[in-house]
Amino acid sequence: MKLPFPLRLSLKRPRLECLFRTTLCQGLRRKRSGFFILCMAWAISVPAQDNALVAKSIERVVSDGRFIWALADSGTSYSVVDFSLDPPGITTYQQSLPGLDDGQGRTRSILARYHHGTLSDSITVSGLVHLDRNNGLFSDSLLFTRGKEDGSASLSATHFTDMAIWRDTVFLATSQAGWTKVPLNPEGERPVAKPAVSWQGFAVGKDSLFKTMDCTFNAKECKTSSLDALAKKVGGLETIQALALDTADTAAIVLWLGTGHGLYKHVLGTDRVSHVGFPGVDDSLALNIQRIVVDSKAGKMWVFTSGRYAISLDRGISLQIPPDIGGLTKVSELQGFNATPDAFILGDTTWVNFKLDKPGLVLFKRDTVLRNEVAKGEPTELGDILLDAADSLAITREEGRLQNMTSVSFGAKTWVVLASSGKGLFFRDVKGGKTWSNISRQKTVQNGLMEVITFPTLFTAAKVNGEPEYVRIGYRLKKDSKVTITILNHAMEKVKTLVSQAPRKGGGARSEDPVEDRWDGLDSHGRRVSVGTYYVRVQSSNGDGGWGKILAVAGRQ
Amino acid sequence: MKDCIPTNQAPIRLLASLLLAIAISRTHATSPEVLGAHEGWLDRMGTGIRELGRGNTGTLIEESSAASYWNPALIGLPKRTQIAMGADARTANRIGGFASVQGRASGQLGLGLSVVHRGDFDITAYDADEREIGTAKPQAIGSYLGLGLRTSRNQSFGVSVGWYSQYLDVGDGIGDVNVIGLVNVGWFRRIGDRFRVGAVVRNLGMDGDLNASFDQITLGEETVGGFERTSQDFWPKTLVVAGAWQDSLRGRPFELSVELLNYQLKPDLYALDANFHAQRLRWGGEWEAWPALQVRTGMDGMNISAGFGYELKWRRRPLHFDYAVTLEREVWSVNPMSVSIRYEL
Repeated sequence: MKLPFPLRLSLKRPRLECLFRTTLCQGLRRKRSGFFILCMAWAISVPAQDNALVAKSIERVVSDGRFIWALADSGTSYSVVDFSLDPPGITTYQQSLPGLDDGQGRTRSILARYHHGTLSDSITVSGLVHLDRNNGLFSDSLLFTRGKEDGSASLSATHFTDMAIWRDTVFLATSQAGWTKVPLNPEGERPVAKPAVSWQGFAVGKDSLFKTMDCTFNAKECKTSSLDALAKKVGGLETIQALALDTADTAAIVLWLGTGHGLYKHVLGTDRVSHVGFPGVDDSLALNIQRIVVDSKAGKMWVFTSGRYAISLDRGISLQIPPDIGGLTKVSELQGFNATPDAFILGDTTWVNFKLDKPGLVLFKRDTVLRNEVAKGEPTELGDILLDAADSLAITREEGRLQNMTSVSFGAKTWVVLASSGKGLFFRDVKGGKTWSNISRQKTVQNGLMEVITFPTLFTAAKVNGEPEYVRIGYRLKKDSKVTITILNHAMEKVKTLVSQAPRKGGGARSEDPVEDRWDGLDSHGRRVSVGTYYVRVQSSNGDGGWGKILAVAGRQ
Repeated sequence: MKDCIPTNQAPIRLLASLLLAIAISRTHATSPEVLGAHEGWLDRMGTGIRELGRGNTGTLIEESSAASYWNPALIGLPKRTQIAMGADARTANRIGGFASVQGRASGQLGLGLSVVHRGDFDITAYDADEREIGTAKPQAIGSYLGLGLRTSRNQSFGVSVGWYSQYLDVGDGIGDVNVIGLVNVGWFRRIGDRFRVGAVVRNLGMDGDLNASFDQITLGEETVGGFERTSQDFWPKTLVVAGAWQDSLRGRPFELSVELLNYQLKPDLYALDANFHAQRLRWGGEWEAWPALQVRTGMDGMNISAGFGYELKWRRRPLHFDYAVTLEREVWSVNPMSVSIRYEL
C-alpha cells in the first residue's frame, strides 16, 4: 500500500521561530527565574499551525476526565483537548503515537481501527488497537493474514468489530474468530502483558464455548485459514458484531455479545452462553445486533439491531422497545438509520447518534425520547438537538458524519463531545447549553485574497468514505463581496468556472463556502482533466484577486 | 496591383477547403471538449518573444529563430545561422524560457533545434487538513529537432521530431511524462511578392492512428487513499493553416498574419464528431516603425499581446532584442516580463 505523501516536507517557519526564541531564553535560565518565565512565555507565543486540532476528520474521541483524545482518520496522530480551559486548549501530536513511558496510570478507554490490505503474497486484515492512559495514547496491533491460495470467502468477515475494557483486561471481538481477553501490562513498556492470546467462540444455535485459534499480539500473524475448516466442522461459527461488559458484580462479570442471530449473555469463568430474547418483539427484528451499550452502575443497557433498538433498566433481565412519543420529529420518522448507532449514558439521559441523514443526536430520558424540535411558544427541556444551520454549525451528510462521541467533565460542568468527519469536534454543555460549539482545523490565511489555499493540493480522485474527493479552496475577504472562482491550466485556458458572482462573507477568519468553493477535478462538461498543474483564480467584486494552485494527478482514464 | 494577386490558385483552394471544414465542424459541436482540460498546453503556449508579441503567429515568419517548433519548412530559408534565447515570466509565478539554434546544412537543407521550458517554482501544497506538506516545483520541457527542405525558390517542406518531459514533483514519478516522437510536418509557399501561405500538422505520433499518446502513473479513484495506476493520455493533433500579407505602411514594411488552429481532442486518426475539435484564431501584425525598430501586436485566441524588436550590430552581425507584453484575458492578468535576444552568425 502506497499512500500519497510524496511532497517534500519542509520545516514550518513558526516552529523555527519558536525554536530560536526558546534557545535565546535558555541564557536566562540560571539567572533570574522570573525573567526566564517571561521569556519562555514570549518564546512559545509564536502562533503555530500545529496548535490546531489534529485533523478535520476525527476517527474517535475518548475521554479521560477533563481531557479528551481526538484521533485523526490516519490513526497515527491525535490532539489532546483540555476542557478545563475556556475555550478548550488543544495540544496536537502530529507524529506516531508514543509508546508507554514511565509512571503510567490506568488504562481508561480503548479504541480499535482495522483495515484490509495486501502485504507480499498474503491478504491481511490489520487491527490497530489504541489504548488511552492518563498521560497519552499508545497503540498495538494484531495482524490477521490469509494467503491468496485460500481465497477470500470469509476474509471480509474476519476483522475487529468491538472492544471493551475492564481494569487491565481488554476484550476484543472479531466477526469470525470469536473473542479474546488480552491482559494489559499496567507498568511495563509494552501494552500487552502476555502476547500469546487464545480466541473463543461458539457455534450457531449452540451454547457451549470452544477455542477457535491462538495467535500472538504484535509479534506474529494470526493465521485465519484454519477457521474455515473449524466453521465447517461445527456447522458455522457465530459472528460477534458487538460486545459490552457489565461489571457491577465483580464476582460474576457479564459479557454481552451481539451476533447476527441475536443477543447472547456470557458470565466470565463459565463455558457457556445463553440467548436473550426481546420480549414482545418478533425474533426476526431482534437479529443482527449492531451495538450494546451498558451502564454498569445504573444497571441500564441499550441494544441496537440494524433497524430497531431496545432498552433494559434491569441489567438485561427485561428488554423493551422505547415508546415513540414526544418530539415533533419522531424517531421512527428519522431517515438514515442504517449505520451502527452510537450511544452513551449520562445519568438518566441517553444520547444516541443514529447516524441519520440529518446528523444529530436523539436524547432519551430513561426510555422516553425527548422533544427535539421546538413548537411555537412551547418550552423545551434540551432544545434543538439536531445540528443544523440554526446552530451556525451545519453539518450535512455531504460534508461529513458524526462518527463517535464521549463526555468530559470539569468542575460542575459536563460536556458531550462529538467527533465528526470533515468538521472536527462539536461539544455542548449537557446541562445548561442549548447550542453546539465547534473545534476544527483551519489555517489562517492572509486577508484580501492575498493568499488562496487549496486542500488537498494534490487531487487524486480517491474516494474518501465513499464520497468523491474534492479540492477545497480557502480564502479570506476583507468585506462582504461577490466572488468568481475559475479553474485554469498553466496556459490560462479556462477549464471550469466554479462560482460566478457568488456572495461571500468577509471580515471573518475565512470566507469560502465549503460546498460551492470546491473542485471535483472535472472540466465544465464533466470530464476528468489531464494530469498537470491547475490554477485557481479567485476574483472578488471589490477588486481583489488571488491565486491558488492544484496538482491534479488522477489522469483522464 | 496585379502583382498582389496570387497567380497559382491551387494552394488557395486547399487552404480554403481546410478553413471551410474547420468552420463546419465548429458549428456542429453540441458538447465540445474543453481544450484547457487536455494535455499539450506547453505546445499551445508557443515560444519565442517576437512571435509572442504578434499573437503567437510564428508559422510563416521566414527568419523565425525557432522554426523547428513553429514550422520546420521555414528552417532552410534564412541564409545565416541563428541562435536565440529568451525568458517569459507570468502571473502566479509561472516561468518559461526557450533556446534555439538553426542554420543551413547545405544549399537546400536546413537543420534546427528548439527547446521550450515552462514551469512553476512555487506551489505550496496542503493536505486535506490544511497542513502544509511542502513545496512542489513542476516543470515541463519540449524539444524539437527539425529538418527543412527547399524544393523551389518559393516553396519548402519540413519535418520535426519532438520529445516532451513533464516533471510534476509530487514524488515516485506520479504524473511525470516522457514522450519521444512528437512529429510536426510543415509546408510553406510564397505566392507572388506579398502573399505567403503555409500549413503545419502538429503532434502526430507513432501509433497506428498517428497519435502522440503516452502512459503515466496516476492515482486512481477506485481505492481509498489513491493508489497508483497507469493511465494513458495524448497530445492533441493540431492543424495550423496560416496566411500572411506583406505591404507597406507610411513607406515602411508591414505584415499581417492570420492563423487558424484546429485541435483534435480525441486519439483517433481523424475524429468526425465535431465535439472533439476545438479551434483557435491567431492574428498578428508587425510594422517597421523606425529603421531597426519593429512594433508588433496581435491576439492569440482572447489573449492580447504587443511588443517591439530592436536590431543592432555586434561584431558586424545583427543582434536582435525582442520584448513582449501579454494580457491573458481569461483572468485579466498583464504579463510584462518577456524578453529574448537573437543573434545571426
